[in-house]
Amino acid sequence: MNAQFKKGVLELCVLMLINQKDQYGYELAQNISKNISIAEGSLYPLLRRLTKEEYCSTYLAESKEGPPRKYYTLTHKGKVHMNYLIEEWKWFSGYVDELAKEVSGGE
Amino acid sequence: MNKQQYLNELRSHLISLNPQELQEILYDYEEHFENAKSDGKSELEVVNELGAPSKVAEEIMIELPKESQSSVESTTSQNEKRSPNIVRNVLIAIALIFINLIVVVGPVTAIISVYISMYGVAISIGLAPLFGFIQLGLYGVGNFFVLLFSSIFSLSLATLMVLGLIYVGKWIIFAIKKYIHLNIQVVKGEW
Repeated sequence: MNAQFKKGVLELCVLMLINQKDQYGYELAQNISKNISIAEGSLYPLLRRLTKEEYCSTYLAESKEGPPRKYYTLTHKGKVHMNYLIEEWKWFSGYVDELAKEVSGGE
Repeated sequence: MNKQQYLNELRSHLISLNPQELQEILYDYEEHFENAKSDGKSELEVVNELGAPSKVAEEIMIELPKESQSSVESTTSQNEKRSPNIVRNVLIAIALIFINLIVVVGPVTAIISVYISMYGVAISIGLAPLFGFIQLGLYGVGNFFVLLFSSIFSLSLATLMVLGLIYVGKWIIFAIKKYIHLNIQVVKGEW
């Protein structure tokens, strides 16, 4: 898939996944790369920015194996932002769909 | 490449960040390696999934807010600019107030008064023929057509004057604003 596409929607996907349930970085990376192939290393810079912008916050929780895990949770501000991005995405993808239909209809 | 090499290379790309931030970032990746390990993945697999350290470092720099990219330099230079200048700023403010009171206020007031009185002139020019008509009506002195044309003439003249004055007025206000702004800048030491 086109790298620019992925970069743009990654933020929205991350927000929606965290909204489903609080997740730690590795878990989130697995959930995303199941469906979209990304360089998982680029997830952490994004998470740091989302945290700095107060769209999500973090807390540490013990794990049975290994060190404590840093969980990411969506803040109220993050929910508002997510809903805004969803609306934008719907509008955007709807428009692209229309154009794509015209292309395949014309052939 | 194993975990330690990966983290070392990442660190070498991010050495310009402040130490605490760098520590936090590296911790995230370390945790990622640990969690992958308990998931049964080899370090090499994780390295491949994460992507090249140089790419990751690039992403980190892009996502970082602008001010913390060179946080060390910016905070010191700001402090140098602000703190020792308070005394200087107060002195400049006092000096400017005196200069303005003595040199600037007089001429500016004069210009504004002349400007306002010009409106008076324009209004009297506009109304002057009215008195001619009153005279004509009361005493029968004067010629109606001469009065008519002279009143058209003076009314247009007055209108032109008012239009010109409005234009000049805007310019005066603009100049005053600029001057006040300049004063503020000088006091702040930005000029």
